Amino acid sequence: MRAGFDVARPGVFHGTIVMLRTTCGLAVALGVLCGSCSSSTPEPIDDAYAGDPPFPDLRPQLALPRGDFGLVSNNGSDTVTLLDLEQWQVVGSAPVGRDPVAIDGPHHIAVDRRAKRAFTALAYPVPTASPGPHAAHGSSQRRGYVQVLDLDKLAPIAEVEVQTNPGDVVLSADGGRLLVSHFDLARAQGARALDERRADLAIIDVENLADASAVSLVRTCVAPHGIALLGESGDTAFVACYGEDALALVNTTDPTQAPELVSLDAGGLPGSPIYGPYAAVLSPDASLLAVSNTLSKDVRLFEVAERAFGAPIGTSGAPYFSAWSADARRLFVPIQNPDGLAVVDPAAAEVLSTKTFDAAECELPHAAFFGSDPRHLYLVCEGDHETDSRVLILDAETLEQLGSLPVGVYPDGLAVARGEP
Amino acid sequence: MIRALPLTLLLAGCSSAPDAPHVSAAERGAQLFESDAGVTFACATCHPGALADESRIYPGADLHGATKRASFWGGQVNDLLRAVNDCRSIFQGAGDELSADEPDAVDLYAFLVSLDGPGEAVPFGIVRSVSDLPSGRASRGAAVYDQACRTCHGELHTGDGAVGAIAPALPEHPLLEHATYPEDQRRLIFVEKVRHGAFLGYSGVMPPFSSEVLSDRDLSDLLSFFELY
Repeated sequence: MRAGFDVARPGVFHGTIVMLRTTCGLAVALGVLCGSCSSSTPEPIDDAYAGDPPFPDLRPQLALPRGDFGLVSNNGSDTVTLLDLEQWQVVGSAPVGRDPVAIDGPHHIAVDRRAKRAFTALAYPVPTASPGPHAAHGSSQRRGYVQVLDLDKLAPIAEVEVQTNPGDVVLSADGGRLLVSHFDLARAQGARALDERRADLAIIDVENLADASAVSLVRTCVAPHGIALLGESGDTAFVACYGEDALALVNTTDPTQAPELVSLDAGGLPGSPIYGPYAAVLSPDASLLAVSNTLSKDVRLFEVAERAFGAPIGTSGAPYFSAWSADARRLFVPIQNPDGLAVVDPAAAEVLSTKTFDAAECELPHAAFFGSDPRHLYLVCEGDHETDSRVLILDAETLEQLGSLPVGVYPDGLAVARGEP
Repeated sequence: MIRALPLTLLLAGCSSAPDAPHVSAAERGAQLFESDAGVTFACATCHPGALADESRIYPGADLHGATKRASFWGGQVNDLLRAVNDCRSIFQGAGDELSADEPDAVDLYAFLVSLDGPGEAVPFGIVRSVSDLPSGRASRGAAVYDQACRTCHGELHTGDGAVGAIAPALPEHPLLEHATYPEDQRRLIFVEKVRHGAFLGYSGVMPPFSSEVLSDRDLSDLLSFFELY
């Protein structure tokens, strides 16, 4: 027998409050003394637990930086990492997700500094390696969730069910509206009617998550992914429609209203795109939207006022989530295959330079971000999807690497919270 | 304590009355740990407890020091109550979650506290991607079956003594279910089920055996014992 619970150990849990679970209750004892004087065995007395409060929260308290901080969703290790973007340090990391074994795949992340909470989408990605012969493996389609995290400990505090393959997660500036796209490539394929191949955009009322009506769905387009929001409360959403070679303009205040789709030229057939718009990032003055097309390997600038696309700006690799400089005079575009970072002059609609990375520097750059300091650009590197990766800190002028921060496996999103005023 | 005093005095006057035994929260928790009342399986079905059989290979971790650990499930969970509730919902068929202050949860916690241990996280290596294994020693596989499989699946071939219909007779039942699979794939379904349990696309209530508690060599021996080569 293993050394374990020892019923003979006295005094470990002496109850200070005695709970009498006996047939001889107090009233009876005061009266006839019932059968306690007989030879019958008395009922056992349950001693109350008198130790420290049960199930204490042992998760370490994270010291939230007063300056800029970043949260990284590590898609391949089911964790979120908190970064101090002024000290260039990792503050902490914690597991997220609902399934204790499967990869929940936290995919992209949004943060609300004032409310001290973050939102990440659990996408349950199909394993890249075949896990076994069973048919259910790798082809199962699990519904996604948005998990709400408390920033003090990165502990999950709430969750909302969404649809399969949640893609981008974006929070309005006022923190009241959360949008989730569904990058559902399986749904995009097949011989179904176009509307059935289109996926929904989830518009979530953050303040009323517990209500059944908290999630409104807007049928958007085929395989929608990157989202950019216009306005303090995000009344208009721009959604990159990967599977339909289009940009969807969604009125988030009226989910019953059909989105307006603006196509990129002729485009491919729905489900068989030739451009593949994947990411959409709005310029600081909200006049231009940078749409990254991963299939045609170019970036298109969408003029918000004119509702029209400019000419394609070719990039040497597939472009992902770009970052605008504060003055909107430069656009920094992470590219993959070959891996690098392209610097675009939006006014001239041309690539000024491209810095390439080898695998040791930054494998598969996925997203670029600025914080408060316009001199420093943060670049999320997906890595090899098997081992821990990093976020690079680059000099925005020279693109020289100033530092790097270790994160988890397959990071694919960074939410930057600007420092407290 | 003061409230209990008058009754104590009264009872003391009964010279023939035996003292009522006291049951601590930890003792009640130990009983809960070993009991399947209200659930499909007891905690002790998968975790070694006070009455652990030293000869068994348990899929669940030894819980000594569990209340002091930083994480569970190989780092995927960092909240003990959630880890308990995961077990209850996934394996034990409990209809609801325990909250931290309800009596059963408190008693179970008291029991876990009583288990001394270092409080370090227990390695739990999930083998996510499985592959075929070389043949092993059938005679050793018989011992592996006794240690790791028999408690739930009962006697070889017949399933006599199994924990219930949910644990099929081995190896016949899974082989019948996958009769059309080629030989190597039929082996793989055993590897897959042992490594993934109820997870990664599978359903059911079987716990996964981590690489730490059951080696590939053990599995090879088991497959040979099942005459799958």
